[in-house]
Amino acid sequence: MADNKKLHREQLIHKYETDGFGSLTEQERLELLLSYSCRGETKQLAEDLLRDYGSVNALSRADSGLLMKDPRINEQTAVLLRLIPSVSRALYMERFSVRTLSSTDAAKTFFASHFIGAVGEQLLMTSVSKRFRAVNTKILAYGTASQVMATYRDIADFAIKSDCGIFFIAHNHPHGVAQPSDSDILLTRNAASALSKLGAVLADHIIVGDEETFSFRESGLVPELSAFSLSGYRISEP
Amino acid sequence: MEKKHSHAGHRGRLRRRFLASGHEGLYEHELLELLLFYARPVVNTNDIAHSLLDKFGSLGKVVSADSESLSAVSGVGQSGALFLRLMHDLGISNMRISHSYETLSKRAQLCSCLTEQFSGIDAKICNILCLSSRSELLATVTLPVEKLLGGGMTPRELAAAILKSGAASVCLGINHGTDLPLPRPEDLALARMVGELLSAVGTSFTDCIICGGGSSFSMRGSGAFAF
Repeated sequence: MADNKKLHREQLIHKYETDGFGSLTEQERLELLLSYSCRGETKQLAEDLLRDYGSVNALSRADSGLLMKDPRINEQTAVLLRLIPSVSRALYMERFSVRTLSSTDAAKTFFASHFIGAVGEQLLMTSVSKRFRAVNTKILAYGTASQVMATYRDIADFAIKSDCGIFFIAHNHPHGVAQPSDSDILLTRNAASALSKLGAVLADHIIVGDEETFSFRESGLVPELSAFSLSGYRISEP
Repeated sequence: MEKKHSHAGHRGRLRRRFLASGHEGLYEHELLELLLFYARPVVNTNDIAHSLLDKFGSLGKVVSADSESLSAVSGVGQSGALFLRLMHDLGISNMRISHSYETLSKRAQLCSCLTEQFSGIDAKICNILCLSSRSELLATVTLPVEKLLGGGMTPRELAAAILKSGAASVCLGINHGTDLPLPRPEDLALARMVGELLSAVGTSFTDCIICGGGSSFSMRGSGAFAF
């Protein structure tokens, strides 16, 4: 019997190694995960947990105290489940890793990578140090472009709370071209003047479209932006 | 042989610290060590954690490294590399909406956040979204509805879970799976229970949103409930 269980686990591992994560069902994923923290049969436990919580992701958000009331769930298992969001957070931070935004090209790649997998439109703001190292990135708003008007307060708020003096904003056009709309131009203009009142500088506003990326400073569309020349931020030749 | 136990309880202590204070309460190498406990049941994981971090730089980079370069680090081995890969895959699938710093100040945003969290799940669960005073999502607690109503979790424990996250306001989401998102008697009972608890602990109750069949129903938005 014990051999059977062991065999089953090895089969799962083999399937995972050869066919990848996508080939495992939700229950198999949980079974495999639980086999690292529980002795013996994990199939029944995985089945019961999925019936109560529905998915591994939901389970990883469950209250540890409540989970451990089930005698089959020990502290190791509760911690292991809590580690999933923790790892995911570390991966998320990695994606938003420190980069140098010292040219329009670098800024374009930086923001393009941020919008990978983004659902809907998002407005991001990034603070950079004097040497253009990205310090902090925040999603200011998400939804439609018409909503971004409401976010000047957030832009100011982010700028004031930050120690940096140079900022980037960026948003995406999902399923669209990267050409700026009138409201995008207005947003850039207002954000630039709002930040300059606070003694800060808007380095650039990047729009990430489906296939191309647009930089306001490169285009020279907004005079308020070009009025402040920024040494250290290179404009790439088209 | 006694010497072997000089670090006895180290793993338990680290685990309890993690349960009590979460991701923020631990250093990066401690989080990695915590992971390695599962892959390496008996060895000293501290050294492995440090050499992994030295080689790859950060926890995120360690888990996303490929198996060969991971197993090349002494002490990790193939099984360790496989486990880290599993955690990486689970972490990626968990990423979605869970911890971005976006704000959920509008009803539509709360609805879409919950709909996404419940997508593909048929179980009767509720998600308690703990929101900061600026409507940032601080934490989500998922609980089975039956356990909550049936006394599997006392109000005190529920209050502890909410207060631990530092929430200023709370939004309750109830999953109806593929059914229509119409309030059932047990949903009302749950909303009442949570509402009473929240007002007792001085946390405001933003809304109770029922999700099902791809759409959602906001109790506050409908205006028919006493909020």
